[in-house]
Amino acid sequence: MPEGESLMNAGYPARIQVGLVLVFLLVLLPGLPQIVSKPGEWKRVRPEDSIVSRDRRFAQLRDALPKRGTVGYVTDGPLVRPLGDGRVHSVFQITQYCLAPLIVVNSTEPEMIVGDFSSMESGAQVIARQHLVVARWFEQGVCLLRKGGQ
Amino acid sequence: MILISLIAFVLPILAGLVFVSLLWPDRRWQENLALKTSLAVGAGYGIISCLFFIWLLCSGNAHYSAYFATECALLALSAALLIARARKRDDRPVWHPNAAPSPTPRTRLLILGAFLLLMFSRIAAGLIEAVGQPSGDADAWGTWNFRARFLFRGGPNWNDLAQYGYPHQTDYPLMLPLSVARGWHAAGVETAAVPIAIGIFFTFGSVLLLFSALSFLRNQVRGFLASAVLMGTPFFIIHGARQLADVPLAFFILAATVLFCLQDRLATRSFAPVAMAGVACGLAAWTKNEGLLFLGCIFLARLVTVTLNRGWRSWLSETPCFLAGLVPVLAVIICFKACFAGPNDLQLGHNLAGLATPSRYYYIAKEFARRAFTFGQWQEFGPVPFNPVPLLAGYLFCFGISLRPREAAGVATSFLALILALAGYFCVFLLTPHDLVFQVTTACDRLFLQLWPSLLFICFMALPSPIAQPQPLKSD
Repeated sequence: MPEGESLMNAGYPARIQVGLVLVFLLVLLPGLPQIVSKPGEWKRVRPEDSIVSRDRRFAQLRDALPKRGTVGYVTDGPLVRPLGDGRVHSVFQITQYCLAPLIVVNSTEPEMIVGDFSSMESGAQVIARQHLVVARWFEQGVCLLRKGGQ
Repeated sequence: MILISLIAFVLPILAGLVFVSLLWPDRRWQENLALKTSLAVGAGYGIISCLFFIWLLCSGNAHYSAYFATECALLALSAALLIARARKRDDRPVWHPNAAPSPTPRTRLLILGAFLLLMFSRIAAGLIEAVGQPSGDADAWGTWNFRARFLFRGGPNWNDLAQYGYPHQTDYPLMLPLSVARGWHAAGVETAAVPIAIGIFFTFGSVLLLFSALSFLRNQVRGFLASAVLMGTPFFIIHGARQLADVPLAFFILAATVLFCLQDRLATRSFAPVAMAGVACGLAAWTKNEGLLFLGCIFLARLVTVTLNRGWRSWLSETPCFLAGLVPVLAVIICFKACFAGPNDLQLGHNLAGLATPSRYYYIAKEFARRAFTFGQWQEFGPVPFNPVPLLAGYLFCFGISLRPREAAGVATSFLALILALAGYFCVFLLTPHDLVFQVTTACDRLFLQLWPSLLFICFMALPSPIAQPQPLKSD
């Protein structure tokens, strides 16, 4: 008789069966509240994903920009900040992600510069201070800028 | 359009299944189907990404209808080869028999049902996590999907980013970005569903691989326990759902580990599992740079363990097959690294003085020891945190290991490779030019996660059975 065949025929001892059920419950039960309670939250969580919302925010600007090249970047707030989904993000990095395959550099040297402001009023002050010229305003404080005097 | 997208999702897995079945030592297609299917997830997506990279170079990132037609034609050709192979009957036993006690058919059915119930509940949890955060983790959108956007939107200028180098991490390999960009081209639109689906496939492909491999090499009870422990690791499920590359890398490391152990179970003179392990190691390196480290570790570990176990002739006879699987993928990696990748941040500057700073050794060792018990985020999983690390460590400490001599080489190879990989991670931390505390805090848990499924596999291969084995009588 091959090794272990008697065990196969006899089945597993009760302590093994209890152990298996315990492991099963320990893995299954803690996950259940997540499945039962979270589906209702899907609609709440989805629009708050900061990347998705900023992707939408930059959609018009992306269409107005060339498909290749380098653009500058200017903002009126810190580069790293909380964005509504409970996480802290680099707004510069998100802008780079949204505008790919354009390369975004944190500078006002390139010919075209992306303005990323909390409001038009706040943006206007930064634009004046940096001697930039607005080429076009888009929605939600996003604008395309050029260097002053061009 | 939806049908085409679905086919494009499933096609890599089908291609992987045909590829694995063509190399599988047992010609009967229905044998080890779960094991072959789980291996097919990684093999399919990995090999298709290599094919897509070659197409990218040849076509200048264009003509996608022709590309998908080529994919389908290659799949049809491989399927025809597989059918022709399956027709040649060969009734010789392929595998050595399994010595571990098996459950009764009724118990087997119950275990399978429990496994499927757990898996579907964790898939639901993973999907909820993914849908709630469709862009994934910062590393997912900031690194992998960012490159995928260049590949999808950039046309012939897909590699513009490389000239900017660090901090854009342009030396990172392209398995994931290419898979995502390919999915977007198939769907005709840039949708979060593609990276989410790939993340879920690799997460639960790993779970199925662990379950089916241990069920075959040991028994279903061990397969169930190991996969339950993996599914009960919140960090693993969350990480997969958040589209991070550590989970696909963990899959390929596990696949290589499993395949070396399958090699030792073979009763025929074939090195097909070792050849597939070569492919898996290559794809690990094509997924993340840590995969390159693992490739070196497992090559060295196999040399040591097989030479000590069976002599160097045995190692020499299997190594050409390992290289046959590895070299095609390695050629793609070398092409990418030599012609398209920017410099690595460790190349730009490393901290050699770190090697002579005892406080760095102490800090890294302390964090390794502490995080080994916490990296899975078990404390966040329900009112009764189920941390398996002390349980497994205690069981191993009390009861030791139980391996047959034939199985020793495969398990020892995998264990030594994981130890070497950990030592490699330790050295990378020592040499990092960046802030050590920041590096360890952000990377250490993820590095442990990459090795976790393989470590579970090795543990459940080597643990002695809690059931007393029948002792043969002296007269036997």
